[in-house]
Amino acid sequence: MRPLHAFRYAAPATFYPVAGRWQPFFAGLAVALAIAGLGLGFFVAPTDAQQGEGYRIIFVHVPASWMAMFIYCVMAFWAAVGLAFRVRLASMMASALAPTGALFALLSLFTGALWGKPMWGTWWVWDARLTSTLILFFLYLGFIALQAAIDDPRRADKAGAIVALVGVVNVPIIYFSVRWWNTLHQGASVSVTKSASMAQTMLWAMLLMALAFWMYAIAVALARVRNILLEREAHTEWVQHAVA
Amino acid sequence: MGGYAVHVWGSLGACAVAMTVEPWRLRRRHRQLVAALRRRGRGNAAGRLANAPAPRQHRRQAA
Repeated sequence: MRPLHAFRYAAPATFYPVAGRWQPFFAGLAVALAIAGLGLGFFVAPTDAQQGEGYRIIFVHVPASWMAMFIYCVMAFWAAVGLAFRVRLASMMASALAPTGALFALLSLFTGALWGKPMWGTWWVWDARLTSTLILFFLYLGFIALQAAIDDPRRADKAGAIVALVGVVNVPIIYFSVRWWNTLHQGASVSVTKSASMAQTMLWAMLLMALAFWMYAIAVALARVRNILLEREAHTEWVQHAVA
Repeated sequence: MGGYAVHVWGSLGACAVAMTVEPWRLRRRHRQLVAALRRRGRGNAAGRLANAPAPRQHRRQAA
């Protein structure tokens, strides 16, 4: 695909039907990957020698945590594109990603608490990893609240983009917090520079679940951006044609 | 689950509920938006007809 052709999809009228066509594909892929990941994680992966069956929380906790960080980076990217090049669709993509990112941050904190109670003896500690993840959740909420508080969508996009860009500095802090500080949260079990410190089946189950969460996030973001497009472009002729 | 059932199923259940409710709400919102926009479209079409100038009538020329 030539780059100029790709820019065609920056037009809301062109993107709306394309998003509608791709959304079920990503949703289906998410379901299929989740079935495979959960099957492998719950029926094939062995019991952990130290944490027993309780370790199986990682099959949802780790993907949720990864997605919370990753979605924030993607959201900040689209917000920056929207701010710098005044591409309306890019700003709408940022707005569409925020609620799903917030949901994953909340799920990361919730499942982490459920893991922490039996393993650490407490639901919560003001540890660097946990605290920075809580800040990430608040950044998402701040982005959503700020956009909701401003009536003019263009101004809301600009204000939101600044929050998203300032907040992106928190993502490397979350990731490296377990190295930079002495935290109760364990270090990374999966790294690109060294082999994973877990059984292969555990690793594959976790990676399949991470992919499933990723596909889910794409499907949901496409569905939400279609709704935002209908809301913001309701006055246009292409919307009247699209819903007719 | 070796004494961890509440924690493991609680985590899985929370994710399952959240990841079912979110797409369901989006789908419902989409249906509401489409219905509202269709109503508006019909309203506009009716408004255009009401405001349109009356079709010209051919006057019979008096003989």
